[in-house]
Amino acid sequence: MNESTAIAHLILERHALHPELDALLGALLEQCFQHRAEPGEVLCREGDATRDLFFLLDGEVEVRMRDLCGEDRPIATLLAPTMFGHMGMIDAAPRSATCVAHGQARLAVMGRELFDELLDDPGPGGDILRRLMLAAMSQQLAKGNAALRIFLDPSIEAPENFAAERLRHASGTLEGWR
Amino acid sequence: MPAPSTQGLRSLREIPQEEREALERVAQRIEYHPGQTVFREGEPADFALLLLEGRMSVVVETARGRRVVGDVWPGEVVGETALLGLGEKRNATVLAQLPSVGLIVDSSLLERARGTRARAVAQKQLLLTMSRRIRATNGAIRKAWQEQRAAEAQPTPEPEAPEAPVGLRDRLNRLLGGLL
Repeated sequence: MNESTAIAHLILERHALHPELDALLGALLEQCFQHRAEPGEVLCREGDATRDLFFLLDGEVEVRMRDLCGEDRPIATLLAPTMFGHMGMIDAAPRSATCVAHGQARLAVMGRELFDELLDDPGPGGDILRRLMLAAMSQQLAKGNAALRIFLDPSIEAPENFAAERLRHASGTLEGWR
Repeated sequence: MPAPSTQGLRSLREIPQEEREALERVAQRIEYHPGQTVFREGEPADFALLLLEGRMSVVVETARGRRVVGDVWPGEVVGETALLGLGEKRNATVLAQLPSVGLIVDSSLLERARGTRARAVAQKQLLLTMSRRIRATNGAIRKAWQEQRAAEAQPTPEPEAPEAPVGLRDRLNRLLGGLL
């Protein structure tokens, strides 16, 4: 098993997909642009147009988002291996957060052209990419909605000043950052 | 009058005709009359529906009775959680508002359609639907938060009314309508 396949295996496991699809996803990772990010490098910025899908192969990425006061604050740290930036690629919405390399990081970056080609491709490459994103977004919805149901449950008492933090957590989960 | 098909749907317009027809060939077609129940809240979720024609309402039961929380328009997928393998039950009731025609999309259809454009089209529609759901819920969170901050900044208390939201939880409940 080569390194790309091994990383693909872990990504598939993370999203409860059959790990035997790892060779297919590994081949996709190898088609991507390979990038070594320096500590502090901004990979994407909140509000910018979405142009790339990222696979974090090694290292950590800090996710930052402006809150309602306009203050830029960290909301999560992504650990390799993982995929991020997929929602904006699907619906062409601007970036919802800023992602910064936390230390050195290694990424496979899929540009818009390859992404669009695969999104419409009925073959196995397109299929594994769509299944991976469906699995990731299912988990986002399931975990995010579960957090919101707890938040909205009137039988669970919690101080109002803690509510904003709980909602921020649910929102970050829905966006796929947690 | 021609039978409703995927041909006129903006969301599927980019798909060549023969591929849209391929989706229609593999998916079972189903018709609903106005007022008919498509899904019922609490029932097991075993299929999603791609609406071809008509309009549907999404309703939830609340302590104050039935409440409409959204509409489904032609080209939209509804009930997609059935395809996500989460084992969830229907979280809302869906009723036909107008005479409606849809295609049933379930996991066996996706399996049968492996390697075809029909499967890719169905998966892509699902991705778009889920993305809209996530954005809409996060939009509601943001709005509830903004309302709460605005209320806290007001020197005078909000008018007292039985339904007036008083906290972040009430505001979000109102915006989401119990639909999660």
